[in-house]
Amino acid sequence: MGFRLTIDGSGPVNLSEKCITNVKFHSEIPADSNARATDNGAAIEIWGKMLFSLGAEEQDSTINLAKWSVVPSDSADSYRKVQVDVVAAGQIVRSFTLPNAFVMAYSEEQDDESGVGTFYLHVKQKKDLTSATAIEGGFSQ
Amino acid sequence: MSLIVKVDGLDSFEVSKECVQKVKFQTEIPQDSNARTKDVGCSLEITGKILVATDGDPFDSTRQLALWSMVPAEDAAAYRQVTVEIVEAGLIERKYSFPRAFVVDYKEEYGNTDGIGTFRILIKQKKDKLDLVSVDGGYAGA
Repeated sequence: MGFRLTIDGSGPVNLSEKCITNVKFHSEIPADSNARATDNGAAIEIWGKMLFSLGAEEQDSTINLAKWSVVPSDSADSYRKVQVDVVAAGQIVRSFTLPNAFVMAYSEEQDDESGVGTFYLHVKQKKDLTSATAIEGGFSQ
Repeated sequence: MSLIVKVDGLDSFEVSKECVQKVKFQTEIPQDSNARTKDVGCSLEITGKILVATDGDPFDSTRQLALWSMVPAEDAAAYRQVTVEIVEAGLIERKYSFPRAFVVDYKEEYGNTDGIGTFRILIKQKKDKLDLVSVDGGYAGA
């Protein structure tokens, strides 16, 4: 099972199944609700590797994730469209789209032993636009 | 992969790349936000080894980190410029630049079985100066 991440905006990000290791989609509904709440959200967490290509042959797009995470809230670039595809056996199992996502958390780690770094990205759809979230799936790629 | 940490300011120093083991860049955003918030912070966590200068090498760079962590807030040297470069195969893959950084946490640990100590420093950009943080990378360098 592989994952593909596409983020458009001023610093586009395209990460393939080579980099992404884990994806978690979460509907953020209050756990203490006694009836269906209107207070629900949608968030995606992504874990992956930072593969630096030798000789800079390919552009490293994880840098655009780091740049996005420090965009101030008054900039138009702070909301971007995030799409995550879950691919298995030639089929798109899931395609999550958050059209107005912002960064909740971002971290990246590097050490002097392994040749790659790791990153963690947590994005969330702007809460009043939760209904614009799209979850599709079950079609061939 | 080698990690180069430079601290500039009133007392400039470089933590040698033999010492630095791990660098973590992270954002600090309230986890209950419903939209992009103004309350965004940015921090760097650096861990590494404290190597003993056996051959009389006078400059122990990690000691400078410990001294920085003790600088009082009213002192101009409390805020410094921190640059971290991640170098792999001749390319600077990442360059984090925190121009108004201060120390949030500093720890050193020693034991009687290891010949070296370890340190961990957590530095943070002054929160109202977040827009000065820069992340670059993907260019040729030393």
